[in-house]
Amino acid sequence: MDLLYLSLQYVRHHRLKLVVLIFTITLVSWLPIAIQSIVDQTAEQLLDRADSTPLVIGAPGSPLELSLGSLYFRSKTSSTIPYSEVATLEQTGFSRAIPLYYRFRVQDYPVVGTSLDYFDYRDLHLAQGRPVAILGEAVLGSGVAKASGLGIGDHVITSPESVFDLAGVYPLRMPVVGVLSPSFSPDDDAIFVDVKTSWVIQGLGHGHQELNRREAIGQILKREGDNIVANASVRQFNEITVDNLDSFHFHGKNANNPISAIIPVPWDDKSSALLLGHYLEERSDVQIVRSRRVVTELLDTVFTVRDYIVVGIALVAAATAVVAVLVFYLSLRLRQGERYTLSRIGASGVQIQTLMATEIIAVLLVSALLCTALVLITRHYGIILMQQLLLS
Amino acid sequence: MLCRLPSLLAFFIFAGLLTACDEQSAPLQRVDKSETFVIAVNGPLHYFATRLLDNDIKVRMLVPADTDPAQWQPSVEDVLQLQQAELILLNGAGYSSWLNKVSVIDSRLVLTSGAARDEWIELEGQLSHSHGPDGEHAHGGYAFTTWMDMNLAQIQATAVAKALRARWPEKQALIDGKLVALLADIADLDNGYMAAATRIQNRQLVYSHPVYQYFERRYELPGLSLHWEPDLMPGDAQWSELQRLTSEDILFIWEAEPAVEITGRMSALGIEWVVLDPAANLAENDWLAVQKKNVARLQQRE
Repeated sequence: MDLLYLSLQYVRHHRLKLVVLIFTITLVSWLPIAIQSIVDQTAEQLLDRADSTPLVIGAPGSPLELSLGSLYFRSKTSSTIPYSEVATLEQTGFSRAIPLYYRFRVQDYPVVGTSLDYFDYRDLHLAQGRPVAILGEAVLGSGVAKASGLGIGDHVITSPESVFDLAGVYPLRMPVVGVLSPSFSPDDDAIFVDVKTSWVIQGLGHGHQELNRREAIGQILKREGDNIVANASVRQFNEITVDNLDSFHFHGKNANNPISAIIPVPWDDKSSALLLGHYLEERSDVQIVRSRRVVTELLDTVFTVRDYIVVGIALVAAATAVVAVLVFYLSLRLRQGERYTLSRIGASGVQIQTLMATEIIAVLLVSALLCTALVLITRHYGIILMQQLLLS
Repeated sequence: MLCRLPSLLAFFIFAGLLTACDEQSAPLQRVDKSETFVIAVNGPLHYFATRLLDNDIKVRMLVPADTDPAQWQPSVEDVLQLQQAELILLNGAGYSSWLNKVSVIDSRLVLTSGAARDEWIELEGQLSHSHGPDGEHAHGGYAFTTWMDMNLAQIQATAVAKALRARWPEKQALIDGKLVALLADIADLDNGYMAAATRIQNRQLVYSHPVYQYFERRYELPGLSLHWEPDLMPGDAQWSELQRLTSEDILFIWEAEPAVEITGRMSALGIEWVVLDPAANLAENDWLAVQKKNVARLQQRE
C-alpha cells in the first residue's frame, strides 16, 4: 500500500514527463499499425468494388480516371461518349450495358444518371418510396438522406457548374421519390436519376411555355414559315411536374447525348473475353478498362508509399525507443538519492526495485492501452478520419 | 514516385467514401414477380403478341379503352408496371411520345417497326422554334399508324416474334409455328385491301383524320385528310369546305361509325361513306376481326 502511494506520488509529481513519454511511445506504436490497417481495409474495399465492376467503357484518356469515376462518381473530367455506345455495346451480343453520367452535383453529392438496370446490378434496395418513374425524379443514397435529412417528398436542387455562367442552364429542382438502404458502397453517397434527367440538367432537354399560344406573344421575335423565333425571356421550367411534363422535350437524338461511361454486364466469362478483345482490337475511339487491373496498379503505388512510410516510422520508433531508454536511465540516476533514503528507512531491495520499475511499467502499460484503443478506433473510423483530414 | 502522388491522394479521397451500415429491405424493382407479362402499346401489337404466346405469359395493355393509345400518357403507377414488364412492345415512328419522359429499362424495349425505319413517313408542316442561345429545333415526327400497311404489319409481327423468341428461347418452336399462321392472316388482309383498292382507286377519297398515310401509300389510295370526329357534328363551314374541295364521286372514310346526324347529312348531300377502323385500341372484336370487317366493307364499294 505504501509502495502504491509512493508510486502515485511520483507519477503525479512527474506527470508532464510521463505524459510526453506516453504520447511519444503511443504515437510511434500506433502509426505503422494504423497505416497498415487503413491501407489494407481500403485496398480490400477498392478491390471488392473493382471486382464487382470488372469492365468499364468510356472515352479515351486516363484509365484510372475512368475507373474511379465509374466506381466512385468522383471524376471531375468532362470526357464523355455518346449514348449510342450503349446500343453499340448491346449489339455486340456479348453484354448488357448500363449507362452512367456523373457530371453533375447536388452540393457535394454526385448526381448519377443511369438506367434501372444499375440498381439490379448493384443489388440496391429501397428503404423507402419507389424507383424513379418519370423525368426529373431522384432517389437518394442512404448516406445522402442521413446527412441531409431529406426524404420522400422533399426536393434536391442541382448545383450550377459555374457561378459565372450567367447564361447557363437553370438548376433543376427534383422531387425525392425514394431512399436506398445502406449498401456499404459509394452508392450511399450518390443521388440517382434517370440518364435522361441528367440531360435535362445539362440543358439538352427542357420544357417551356407553348410558343404558339397567345400568352407567349410577347416573347415572339418573328415567325418564318413553320419556324417561331422567340427571345430568351421564354419561361423555362426548373422543375418537372405532371402539369408541365408534356412540354419537356429533347433537342436532337438521345443517341448523340453524352454519358460518362458504360458498365458492361457480359453474359458469361467467354462473352467477357470476347467483348474485351473486340474493344481492344477494333475500337480506338473508346477505351475499355479492367477495373481490377487499374485499381491494383494504384494499390501497388499505395503499397510502395506505405512501405516507405512504415520504414520511416520504424526508424523514428527506434530512435524514440533509444530516447525512452535514455530518459528512463537518467531518471533512475536522478532517483539514486531516493533509493538511498528508502533503503535507510527500511525498504527492502525488491520494494525499491519495484518502485523504480513502476515508472517504466506505467508508461509502457498506458501506451499499450492507448495504442490498442487507437487501433480499434482506426479500424472502424480510420478511413473516414483520413478522408476528413485530407479534404479539410 | 512524385508523379504518382496525385493518384495516391485520389486513392485516399476515394477510400473515405467506402463506408456504410447493413440493413435489409425491398428490391428496388421487380416488386411483383408473381406474374410474367409483356406490355403492348396498342391494339395491333397486343393482338400479335397474344397470338404468338401461350396463356402462361400475359399480354397487357395499359391504355384505357376510351383513350387513343397514341395520345395516352402513363401515370406513375403505369410506369411502375412498365418497369416490371419482361418486354415493352413499341410501335415506333414516334407513337409513344411518353417514352422519353419515363424511366424504363431500355433493353426491354422492342421497336417493332424499327426494321422498316426507312419507310416511316415524315410529317410535313411541323412547327420549329428557337429561343435563347440554343439553335432552332422542331418537335416534329412521323406518321405512326404503320400497321394499316399490312406489309409493315407483317414486319411488326415478325419483330414481336423475334423479341419473344429471344426472351423465351424455349418457346421458339411454338412462336415460329404461330407466326406462320399470323403472317398468313395478315397477308390475306393485305390481299383483301389490294382487291378493294382496285375498285375504289378512281374515286375521290376523303379521310376523317390524318392517320391513314401508310394505308394510302401501300394501297395507292391518296386522299384528303380532315380532322372530323365521328361523334361530333361538323359545323356548316366544314361541310361547305368539304363540298368545295370534293367532287361528286366522293368516298368518305371514317375511323369509327359516325353519329346518326352526320350520316343523315351525308346522305342528304349524296356523300357515300365507309368505316375503316385502324383498331388502335382493344375492342370487343380482336384486331384481325376488325380488319376483316374493314376489308369486307371496302370491298362492297365500287
